[in-house]
Amino acid sequence: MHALRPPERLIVYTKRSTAVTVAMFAAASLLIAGCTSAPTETAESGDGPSGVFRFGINFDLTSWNPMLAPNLTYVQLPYEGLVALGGDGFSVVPQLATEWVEDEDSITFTLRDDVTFHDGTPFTADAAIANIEHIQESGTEWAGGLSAIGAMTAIDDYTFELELVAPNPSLLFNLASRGNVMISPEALESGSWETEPVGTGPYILNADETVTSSVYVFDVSEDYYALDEVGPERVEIHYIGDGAQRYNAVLTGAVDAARIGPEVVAEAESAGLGVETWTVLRYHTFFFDSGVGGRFEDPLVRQAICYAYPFEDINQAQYEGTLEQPSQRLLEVDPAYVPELEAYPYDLDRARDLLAEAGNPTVSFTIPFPEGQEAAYALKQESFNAAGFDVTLEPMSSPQYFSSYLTGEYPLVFNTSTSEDGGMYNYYKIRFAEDGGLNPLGVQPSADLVSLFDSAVAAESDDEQIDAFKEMNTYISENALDCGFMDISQTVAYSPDTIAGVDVVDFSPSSVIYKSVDLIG
Amino acid sequence: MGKLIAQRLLAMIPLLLVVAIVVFALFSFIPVDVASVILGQSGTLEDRERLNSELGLDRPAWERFFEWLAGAVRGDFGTSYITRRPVLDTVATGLPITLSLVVGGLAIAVVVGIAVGITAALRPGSWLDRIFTGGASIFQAIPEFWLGLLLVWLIAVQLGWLPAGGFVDFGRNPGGWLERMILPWLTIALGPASQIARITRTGMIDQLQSQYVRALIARGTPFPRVVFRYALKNALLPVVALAGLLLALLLGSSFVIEGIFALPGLGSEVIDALGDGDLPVLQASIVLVAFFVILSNLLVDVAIGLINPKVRPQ
Repeated sequence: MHALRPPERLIVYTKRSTAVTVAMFAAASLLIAGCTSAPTETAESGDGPSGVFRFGINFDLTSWNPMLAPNLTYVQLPYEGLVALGGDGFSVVPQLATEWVEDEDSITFTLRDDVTFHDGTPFTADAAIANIEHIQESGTEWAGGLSAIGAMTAIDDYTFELELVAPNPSLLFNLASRGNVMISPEALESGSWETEPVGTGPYILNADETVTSSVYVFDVSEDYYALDEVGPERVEIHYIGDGAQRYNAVLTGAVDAARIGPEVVAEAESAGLGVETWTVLRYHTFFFDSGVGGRFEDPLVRQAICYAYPFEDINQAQYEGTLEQPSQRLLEVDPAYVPELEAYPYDLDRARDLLAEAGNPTVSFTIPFPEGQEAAYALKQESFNAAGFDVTLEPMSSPQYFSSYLTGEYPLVFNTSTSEDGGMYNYYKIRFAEDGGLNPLGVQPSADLVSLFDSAVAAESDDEQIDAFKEMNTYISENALDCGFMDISQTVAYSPDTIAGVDVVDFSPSSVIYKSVDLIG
Repeated sequence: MGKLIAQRLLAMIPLLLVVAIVVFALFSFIPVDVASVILGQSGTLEDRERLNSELGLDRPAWERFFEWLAGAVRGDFGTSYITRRPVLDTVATGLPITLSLVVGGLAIAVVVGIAVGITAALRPGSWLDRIFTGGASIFQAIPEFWLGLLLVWLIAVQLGWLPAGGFVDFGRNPGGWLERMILPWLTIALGPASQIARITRTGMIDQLQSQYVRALIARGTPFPRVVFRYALKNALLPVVALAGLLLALLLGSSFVIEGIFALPGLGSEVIDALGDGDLPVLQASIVLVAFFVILSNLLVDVAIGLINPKVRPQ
């Protein structure tokens, strides 16, 4: 084909056009540089909150209702509870209540007298009682955690008493949990609390600057009773769903810190970022179908599953070797923790022997699992089938998984509930009690276990109760009512140029304590 | 032309109704218990059933559809199951962001594609032409999500020239908004720009080799005028048609790109709603997308008719 060559003047025109284009691009670049936002404020020396802390997180805020889907990342900014969890995720420390006195059938709380809700309503004993009643009437698991509370009486403006209709050693832990924060009674009455948070916390939502599903902005509450304990003057929570983009956001300074996955931890450290890793969840095995005639009624069958659980393979394949393998459900700081208990070791031969001892029953079941867990569950299936079980997997989306696994359709799942962290009382009531929230088939616990629980609850001293709970713990382990424990961690990467580090609460997902972030100025 | 526009607008109504019915029917079969999604691991079975009843999910599907339809006709698309916000609020927040991404990307694709196509056509077979043609092939083949990640890595992380993602409201900070849209625009535009460049190049070469162009040149018509006033006008027809198709495709691409760049557009809302079983948000969003696709086809036909009355649709 004969190339069509334009006259010389067109080439000149083209060159001029090119020059104009370059000039326009340069002008646009100058405009961008001139109009971009000012550099991130850094903390100034001196008293009082200052600076902006920007945090990248992987899930969006869907509701301000603290009793619904996990939203601690957001809820902990405007809200506080009577008590709070200590850094170990188990102990209970004062917060809106400064002290409490427990006796056999009541707890008396003394409240701070210098607290107001963000709408100006004073925080009093009546407000605390109104909130507890609100939670009790909610019908959620949080209501179950407060079921031991009967009548409540305001003794004066800042003192109130809870009467206990039944013993509940985990009650204070429950009061420290996410769903038990204090909401302004006026907001409760008007119904606005589900869409607008009105609490006593150090931060107030800045709705004007918030962009839903992008960035949630919070400004410090100038009336907060402990302003000297608050670091950042402003907190921005950036919703960044993609893991790579969250990591990039920290790397490029778009945020000061962000949650990252285990696969980039080494890279983050070598890039000079600070890294904070903490245990957030203790997963374990739910033998749902362990009742009379059930697939897992026989302890030998359950033990076979426990011995066939490929912990280390899962650890390497799915979690970059970051997992810890505990020996029991109770946390190490729990007084009823039994150090002598050991996790079931991985031993396929032992698993096969146990099934043979049980008469080689045909045990077929389907295990559901959420997206992102393919490698771990493939390994479980392979190992269980090698031991002699007949396992099929059912992958599903996360929402589908969480709406399905407790329906009773699946005889065995691997999951957890943070409420179980509150000690043996919660663990038994939630997981093993006939009406427990994690007992969808309503399997009746064995008479021995019930007897041990009743003894513990009726104990006349704390030591006696702890001993009884330890016995329960040992019984659960020896009878393989639970096993396959796996501690999952979360990691936050942060820029050491802008913050000194982050404080977290163990066994509390997404629990970066924003108010204590130390901005470097 | 006015009659055509009126007819096409009227025909849009039954089309949108069919889309709404199909969407409702398909997504009614999503095996997600919305109440469980809302409650997470909280809540008893009774509480889930109560919540499902509050949301009206225990009513027959046809009843729920007609209730939705009656509201939609009045501009009320219901309330999100998950956030309890009016669906219109959700859509009104996300739609401008998606449109700015798509329209901005398409504009870049058209401008760059036409410019590259003309340049290549003026030098067919040259090294410049080969570079453009080769580059077009590469950009057409690269998946958008991979291109987006590559641009982030190179421009944001390695060079630090632009932010890696995020969104800033234009009204608050036009410069911040602009710098955060550049990488998403490039990601969404480079593939379509390549397609437009190739079609423009082919069309321009055909036009520049035609008899009437030779006649114009022989008569002494200035060459730039020949190129831009005569040849380009005729070469643009397939480009306009392609742009209309691309608009629909880019609307789909935006769903992925919004996720990569953390843009809170309609695509992000749709993906979240799909996972959560939030049917009101899904229904309204997809019907809206269908509306824009149909509208873009109409605009393409109108544009073609304006450019060349001889091929104006009747």
